[in-house]
Amino acid sequence: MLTTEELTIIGLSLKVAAAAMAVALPVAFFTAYALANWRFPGRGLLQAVTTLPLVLPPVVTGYILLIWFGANGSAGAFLRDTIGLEFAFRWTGAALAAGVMAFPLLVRPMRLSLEAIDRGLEEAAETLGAGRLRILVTIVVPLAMPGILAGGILGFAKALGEFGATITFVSNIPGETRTLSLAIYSLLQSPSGDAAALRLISFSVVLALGSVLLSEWISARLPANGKARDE
Amino acid sequence: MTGIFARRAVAMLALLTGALLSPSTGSSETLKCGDRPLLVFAAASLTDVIEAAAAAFTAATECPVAISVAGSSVLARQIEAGAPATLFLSANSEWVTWLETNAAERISGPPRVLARNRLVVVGRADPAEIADLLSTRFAMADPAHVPAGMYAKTALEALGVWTDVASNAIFTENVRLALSLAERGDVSTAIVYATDARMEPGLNVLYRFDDANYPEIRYEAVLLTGAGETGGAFLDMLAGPEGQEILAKYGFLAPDGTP
Amino acid sequence: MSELAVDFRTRAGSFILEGAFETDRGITAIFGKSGSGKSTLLRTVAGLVRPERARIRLDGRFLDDTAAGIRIAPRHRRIGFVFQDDRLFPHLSVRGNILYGARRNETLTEPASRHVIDMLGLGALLDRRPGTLSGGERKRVAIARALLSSPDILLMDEPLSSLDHARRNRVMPYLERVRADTGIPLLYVSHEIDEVARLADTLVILSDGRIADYGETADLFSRLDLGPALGRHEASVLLDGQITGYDRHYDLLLVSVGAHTLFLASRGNNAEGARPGQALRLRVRARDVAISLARQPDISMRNQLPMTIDYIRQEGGAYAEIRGRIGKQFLRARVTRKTVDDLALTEGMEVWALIKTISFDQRLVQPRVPPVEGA
Repeated sequence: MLTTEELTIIGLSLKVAAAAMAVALPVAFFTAYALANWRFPGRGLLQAVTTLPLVLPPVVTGYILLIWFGANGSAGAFLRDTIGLEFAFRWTGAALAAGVMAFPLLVRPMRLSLEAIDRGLEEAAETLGAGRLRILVTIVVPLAMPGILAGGILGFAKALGEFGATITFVSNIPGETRTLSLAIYSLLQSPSGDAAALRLISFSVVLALGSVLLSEWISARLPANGKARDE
Repeated sequence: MTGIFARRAVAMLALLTGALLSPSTGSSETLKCGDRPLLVFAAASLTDVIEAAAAAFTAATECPVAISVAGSSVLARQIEAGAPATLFLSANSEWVTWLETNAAERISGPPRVLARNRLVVVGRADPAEIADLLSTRFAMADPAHVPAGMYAKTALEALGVWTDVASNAIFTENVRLALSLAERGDVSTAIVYATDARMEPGLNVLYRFDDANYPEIRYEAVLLTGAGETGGAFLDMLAGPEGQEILAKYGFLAPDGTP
Repeated sequence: MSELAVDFRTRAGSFILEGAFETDRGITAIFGKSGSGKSTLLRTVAGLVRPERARIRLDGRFLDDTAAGIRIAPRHRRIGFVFQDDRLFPHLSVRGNILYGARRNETLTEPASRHVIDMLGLGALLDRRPGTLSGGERKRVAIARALLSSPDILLMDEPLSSLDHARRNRVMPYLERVRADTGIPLLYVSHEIDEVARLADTLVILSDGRIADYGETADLFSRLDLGPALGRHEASVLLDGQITGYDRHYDLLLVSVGAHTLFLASRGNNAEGARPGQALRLRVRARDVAISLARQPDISMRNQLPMTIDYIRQEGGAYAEIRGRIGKQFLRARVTRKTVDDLALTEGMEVWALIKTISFDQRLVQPRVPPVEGA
């Protein structure tokens, strides 16, 4: 049904999206937690920056990434020289672009979930001897789980389908940065590519639809948040 | 027919013709491929033809070629930002000039014109005068930022009809979109590249613009640092008879403008 | 040495609460109208609000001493807090909830938790989710959760206020059991004088952001000057008594108060508590006490106690309050000023206090369980 080449593309896309989520999820959770719970200078700015990838044209995001994290970019050079992490024109860069683009989709549902948690529960846990980490792990994360899962799945789907920022940042290199949507774009450039494009398109539609349905299903099934305790 | 199959068929053909016609490609005994595939940055409109040429090259030399396709502008900026590309195939000379200005250190050879293209009007009607063809709704690339659109506007202005027909135009993000609007019958005609026109067998070329009426549409190639022997060999092949034959097969004009 | 000593000043917005009190084992009620700062006091002790200054000592250890720069984090205070709104963890089972705080208690053994579970009647609920529990059940789970964190003190913020009358009466005995069985001191916020009368050994009265007074509950109840703080219409006293017998024929309990005997309806006294020798706390409202110059043999009010008028308080209006001494205890009567004049009542007079048996409402008649020694 799918050729080896297509399987490579799908495998790469899944790898890129998974890596993007693995890094972006904790960062997004921390951001959502800070936005939901803390009042600090620059909070409004953080909020704006967080939603920026959603409103900026993806090309702009990609171009900014290219300037900062490209081979000659300051952040890119720093990370390469310090921890040996290279983004420029590598699949890691595709993951970075996907993670950045999916970030707002992760933060928002998490934040809503976190804001719905009764702070009194954390206070109660505190009087029972729990430290901050234990409260986070045993109270906050479980109660925010609907938001974390919904955001994670939606973000994963977005990461799988990211195009504009990726092609601008890390180009369209087969086997390295040519993910699903970039492959579809390339196939559409040639008249003989229609059939193959259609197969990949169907695959992404199924994947996206499945993700959104799964996300909805999880949101509906998970126990309600802290404020809905009294029924 | 699947894309992969088509590409294989083209590769086989190219291999046969290449072996017969073009000893200049070199042989596997003399060419060292390097440890990574030769990374070629190519304008998206060259996707097909470059993949066919790369397949022929790989078949002849056993050197793998990876092609990253995107807009010429995006690719040029990525090269400036340090992209490990070894060869840049631009859909116009502008971005090659831009590279020469902004990233001269990346360029390791003089630009070479690989092919030319021209603008045509396609549709299902009969050939007619340009003003008549564009008197109903037609599609063209957005002249605000898409090169094909800019060329078309310039040509129409030179013909003195732009002000009359501009209100009938539907501007699209790229040429392919204009072509597909015409193919589906959403518009009666579309202004596209000659290379695009041959993609839709159901559409006829109704009008050819005079090359003198708009800037030359040139595909330029430039070797980049790190291209090595392989990059040079691939460029030589593209510019040589074997490459030119493949380009012609895909509807491109020769560098001197002959079909 | 006192178990808990509190001296503090806490600001919450424009509201300032300050004062000092000391208390021993048993149940200490913090009583005051809503808005008087009861919860703030409790949260200060728990460390959930930061006081402007505080010196809080529990069992010889300082929880707060702002002068010395000591402030123990809430989670290290070893306090069990039962919140007004329970605050059960909705995603955990009852078992998960009550064992949440048990983690820090290395000495908690299975029998110990079993004991708390049995005491609060939670055995059948362990696998349920909080969302499926009734209000009374939730409250008991909250109490068990606090207890199993093996606290040095239990803080309860109006634990019964969210319950209806019937549930309240069902939960209250559990609180008395906690007091009797665990020996953990209990700081209990309430605005219900009935609860206070029934449960509290020590009473702390809050009024307008300060501690108006504190001391033994019975002492404070006999104080006429605390009328406004305790609620005029509910003015009442607490009498300590002891069951001396049971009249099966009439179903009446014989209760001695000092040298005198009262007849109380036994209904509502559980079989355990109604044994001879059992100490009782009786609450008598001032408005239920009538005054007579002589014993009245031909009247339906059979409980008649001789008392010496100790104080008469008149402050305009139609009513006067009379406090009388019965042995070492006090009784209060609320009569009209006209009655005072008609009977020519004066301080030092010997009179009879007449109380209808029914006035000793069943929930006002409680077994007195002596606090557990030692521990």
